[in-house]
Amino acid sequence: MNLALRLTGIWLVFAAFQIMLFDSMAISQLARPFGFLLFLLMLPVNLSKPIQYLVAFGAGLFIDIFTQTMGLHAFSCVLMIAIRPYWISIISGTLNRSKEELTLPHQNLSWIASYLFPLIFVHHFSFFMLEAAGDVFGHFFQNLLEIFSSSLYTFVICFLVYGIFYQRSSAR
Amino acid sequence: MLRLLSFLSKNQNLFLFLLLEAVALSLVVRFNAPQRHAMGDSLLEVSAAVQMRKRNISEYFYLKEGNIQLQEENDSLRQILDSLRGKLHVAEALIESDSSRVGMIDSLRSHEEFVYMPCRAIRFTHSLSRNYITLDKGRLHGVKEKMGLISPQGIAGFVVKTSPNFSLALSITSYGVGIGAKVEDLPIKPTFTWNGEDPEHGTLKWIPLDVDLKPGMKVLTSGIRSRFPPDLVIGYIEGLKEDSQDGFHEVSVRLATDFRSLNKLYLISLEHKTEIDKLREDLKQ
Repeated sequence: MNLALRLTGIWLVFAAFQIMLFDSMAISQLARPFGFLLFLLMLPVNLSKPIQYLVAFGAGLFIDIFTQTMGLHAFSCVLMIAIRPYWISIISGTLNRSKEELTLPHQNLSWIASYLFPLIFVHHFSFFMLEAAGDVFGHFFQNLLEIFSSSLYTFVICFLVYGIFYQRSSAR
Repeated sequence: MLRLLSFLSKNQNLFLFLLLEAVALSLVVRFNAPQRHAMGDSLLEVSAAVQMRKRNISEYFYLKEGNIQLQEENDSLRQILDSLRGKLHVAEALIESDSSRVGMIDSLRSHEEFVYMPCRAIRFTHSLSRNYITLDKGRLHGVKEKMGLISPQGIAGFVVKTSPNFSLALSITSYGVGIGAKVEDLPIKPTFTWNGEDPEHGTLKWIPLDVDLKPGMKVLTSGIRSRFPPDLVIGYIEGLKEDSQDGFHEVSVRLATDFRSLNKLYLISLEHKTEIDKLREDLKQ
């Protein structure tokens, strides 16, 4: 299937879940999950960088419009996707390189965990710090706690979704 | 010029990255400026319409709680109605006995200065530093920017953006929002601000030590240069903190509105009031 078409389809599913479900799954003051990040983190690694940046920007902005957080996700998603290749090359000591192309769905779960969490953390750090911009120094540690617990929350969701859908689909 | 172009093309990934981040940052700055929200009408309309569908589905699960809330509000309104009815009888009797007191009718009508419009919260947040409430009424229903928003318990926020069918309000539990306040009948007019930590508390700052405050006292809107009419409940005094260096009280206020579960709300229009005030001013001259 055409890659662009397939990615658009997957994105619509992720966006719908983010807006309809994850958005109302916030645990009071403590944590706010952004499960749609898995879509960006599962983008093919061999996609050209400008395309990756533009997809991240568009996806972030899309969610921003529906959650009244204009620009916050767009900024954080582009930052995360820009750091991604460097992070992959750092942890790819334990990587299965099948053929010449790296395919994320074929990695083992511990590699996926160490791949997902730090990148999710980068996004959340940027998002919550920017969100609290005017007030950030007043409640620095409270913000840090929220960033950490939200990252964990998002990570658990992403990990489950990965385990259920991506791994199974690659096993076929 | 050619060198510049070749430099750009060599580092095009970096420049695209910087460009996108700059655009995103400018969006953040523009859309989150205090007291206003620059999101386009059509974007608000679309996003609110989607949120509305979701809200309609999830509302079925909260019907019971909603009914209990309405029942409570109904009871308190009935009490107010009874006391007002009593006052009305007294006033009518007075007017009959003394026709020079016609002015009292005027004061009885004062509540008409404010127009209340019921609405529903479609989506809201309470844990961010700027919390927005999406409402199911918009320009076509007569909603205007700067209208006050109250819950049955107390004040909640004010409208910052309208689209034809929806509007967006900023909650008073947002960074940088100040509300003119007073404490029962005491002669002080402090400013109420959110404490920035949880959706239950706010603070009154710079209250002289000689003002006699007790926990449980009502904090009300002062109505001075405000989007709210006077005497609406903001919250209740919970604790006093003496700031020994400055010689002022810092007062912790428990908010009356439950920002974790907003549903039925009311928009208040002060338009009639400003019109009436203007007429009165004109008459004086």
